[in-house]
Amino acid sequence: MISYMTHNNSASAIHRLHPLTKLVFLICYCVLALTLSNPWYSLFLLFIIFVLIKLAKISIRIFLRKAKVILLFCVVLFVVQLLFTQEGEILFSLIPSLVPVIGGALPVTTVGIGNGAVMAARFLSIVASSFLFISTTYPNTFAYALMQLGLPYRYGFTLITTLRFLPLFSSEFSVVRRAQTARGMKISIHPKKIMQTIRLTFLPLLVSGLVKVDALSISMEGRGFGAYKDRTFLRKIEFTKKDVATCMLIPMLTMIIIVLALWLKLPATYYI
Amino acid sequence: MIQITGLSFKFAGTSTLALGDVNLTIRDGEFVIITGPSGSGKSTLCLCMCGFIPQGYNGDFKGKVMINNKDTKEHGVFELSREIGIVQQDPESQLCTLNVIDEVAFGPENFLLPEEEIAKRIDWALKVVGATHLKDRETSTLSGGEKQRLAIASILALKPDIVIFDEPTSQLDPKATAQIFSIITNLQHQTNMTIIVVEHKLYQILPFSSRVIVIDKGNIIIDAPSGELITYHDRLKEMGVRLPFQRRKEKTSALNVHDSAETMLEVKNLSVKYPRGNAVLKNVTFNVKKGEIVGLMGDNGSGKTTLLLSILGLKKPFSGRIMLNGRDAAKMSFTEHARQIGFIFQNPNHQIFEINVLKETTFAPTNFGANEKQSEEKALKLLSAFNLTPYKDRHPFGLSYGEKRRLNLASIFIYEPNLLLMDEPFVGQDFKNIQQLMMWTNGFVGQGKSAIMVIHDPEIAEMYCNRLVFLKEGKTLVDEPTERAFLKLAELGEEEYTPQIWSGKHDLLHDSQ
Repeated sequence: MISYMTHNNSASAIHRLHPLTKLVFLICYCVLALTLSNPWYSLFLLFIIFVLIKLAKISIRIFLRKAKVILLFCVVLFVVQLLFTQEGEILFSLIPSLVPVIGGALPVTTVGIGNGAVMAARFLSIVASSFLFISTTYPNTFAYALMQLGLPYRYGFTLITTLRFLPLFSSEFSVVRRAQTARGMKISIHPKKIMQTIRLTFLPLLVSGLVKVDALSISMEGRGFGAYKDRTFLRKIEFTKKDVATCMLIPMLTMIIIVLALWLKLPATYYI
Repeated sequence: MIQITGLSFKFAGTSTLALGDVNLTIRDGEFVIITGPSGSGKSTLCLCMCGFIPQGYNGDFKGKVMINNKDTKEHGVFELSREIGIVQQDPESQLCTLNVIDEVAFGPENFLLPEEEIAKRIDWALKVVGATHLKDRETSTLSGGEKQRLAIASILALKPDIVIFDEPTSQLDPKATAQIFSIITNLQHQTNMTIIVVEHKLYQILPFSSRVIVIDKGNIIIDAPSGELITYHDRLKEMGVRLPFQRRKEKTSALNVHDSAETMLEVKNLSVKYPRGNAVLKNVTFNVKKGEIVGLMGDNGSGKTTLLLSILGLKKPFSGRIMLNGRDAAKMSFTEHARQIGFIFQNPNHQIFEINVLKETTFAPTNFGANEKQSEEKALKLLSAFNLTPYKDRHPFGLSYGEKRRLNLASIFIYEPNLLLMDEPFVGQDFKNIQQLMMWTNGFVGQGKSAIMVIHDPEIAEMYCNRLVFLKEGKTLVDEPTERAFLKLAELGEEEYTPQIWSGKHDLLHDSQ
């Protein structure tokens, strides 16, 4: 899963956007994807996100390769909708009517195709937009950005030190695993044994973790962490007027689209 | 200036005093070394000087500590941190951000310094530690030595008057160690800061210091000008403090191994690659005879740990072969292979899993499917041999470092392996702990078994290793008996890995006067 979280280094205009702007866009986009239930709109939203991925100079092929399991799940969603929706105009039957007894079963309807398309597109757009956000936003920058916008810095640094220490704990974990293997311990998937494995692994990690936390707190407090309510930031992540405007415009636009959709009484069921 | 009067401290929940009755004055611009056995109270004293004790730790605090006329009881740690900074042992856990710039800026930012000033300080601090070229790097991509330089820079950025270095090189290889020491000594020339270095390895830093303070059991035993340290020779030796001028006297205690001795381990043309990565080991070939202790040396990242792991069977060779006691390791079952080998890790905590000392000792035999009763009997015998019997029902967590190491050994010796692999077992340890571990190792190889240890300290290697294998970028650069290996290493420009005598610096004491 780690590879999902890695930051793509090729910087683009989207990379340089303020993280909060991107977050606002992500939220609005997901709200739209979840509320709009017309297959054409859903597919259009999906198209938009792929254009943005392209603009962020991320290879769509790489995204699709990473999202293999998710694509498979989209196909399953589509097929399930297709099979179990009976409403709407029957286009054809999966089992031709010429077959005796069960002929004409499993009809494919317009509503079925529409439903399937909406569900699959909805799911894929949420995943794709989150992928775009994660791969264009460096978590460190995100934390610094939020702190500069008023998030208390203690919370911001909780995130940063966590990011800093995760790889350390993962390498400690592999050392402990080696030590266990060296003394003949095998990993067992038997439910009773799993609890034992967790206990035997957790203790050494806890002990060395406590030592590390001690050193970390000495290092941070010893450099004035927590001295004042505020702190300055050398790394300025500027929230420009453009960002302010974008952050206000996008939610407004989202609202308008939703209201219009309701007002124009776009079909609530998913006709094509 | 530091003024300490009548300082004593006892950690909550312990019965012995961590510091007894410490009286100490350190004037501006001094370069002081604090040394003493492990657990003697050196780090506790440092924590007192920075105000973490009494402010951050529970316990019984008596006396007075004044830093630049500020009482540590009345001024917060953050106030004191502009006067006094501390660089700790572990390069990893004292860095809290993800980028070099953020790390150096961290302190000044907390003190609300204006941006231009922070930027200036970053440039200055990185320059002092010779790390200007690392400015745009991410923390995780730095080597151990580079991380430690960054840790120093991030303390310097606060421009304190006093900097404490608490065993700053214990986790580094000799090259990085030499660099850090030269940064520390230059620092004093350049800034006139007061410098306090807590250190076991005196031979490199002693000539530059003005004063040495020796602490044992929470008390200052010796407080003398560096040049006079030699007059306390006998007392220091008794305490287990290693002095630069006592080395030659303790000649190697490694047993003489006959040329005709049988081979325990044969590593032949071993190459190891990581998936999609470059080769870590390239055609490594060497033998270990029965009764030998072989020292494995080389820069961090040269493949030493990978080599140990492939001997243990945890890294599959890409090519080449490993013969253990005459049998091809590739053809052994996992259990057979593991039983042949005992592995001592750098951090004793990483290889203690069980809830009490006895269970910990029988952990391996249980996994190997041995008879429970028999292994318990055997464990009790071993615990008594290792002086651990009184702790047999106690949780290993509460043991001291030395006791944990003995427990590590007991829990390995119980299944009678033939080859002991040790991955930097001496990190941050005093000479007594090293001697103790080596005494057991000597006893082990004395039974016709063998040991390989990754070792950074040439003086220890000279004392205990029959032979040295030196890895450079995954290849064997040197594979010779210890003395000849040092000569060769010196010739090849790897002086940091040879005892000081080889590089002609053995007369340190006289140099300093």
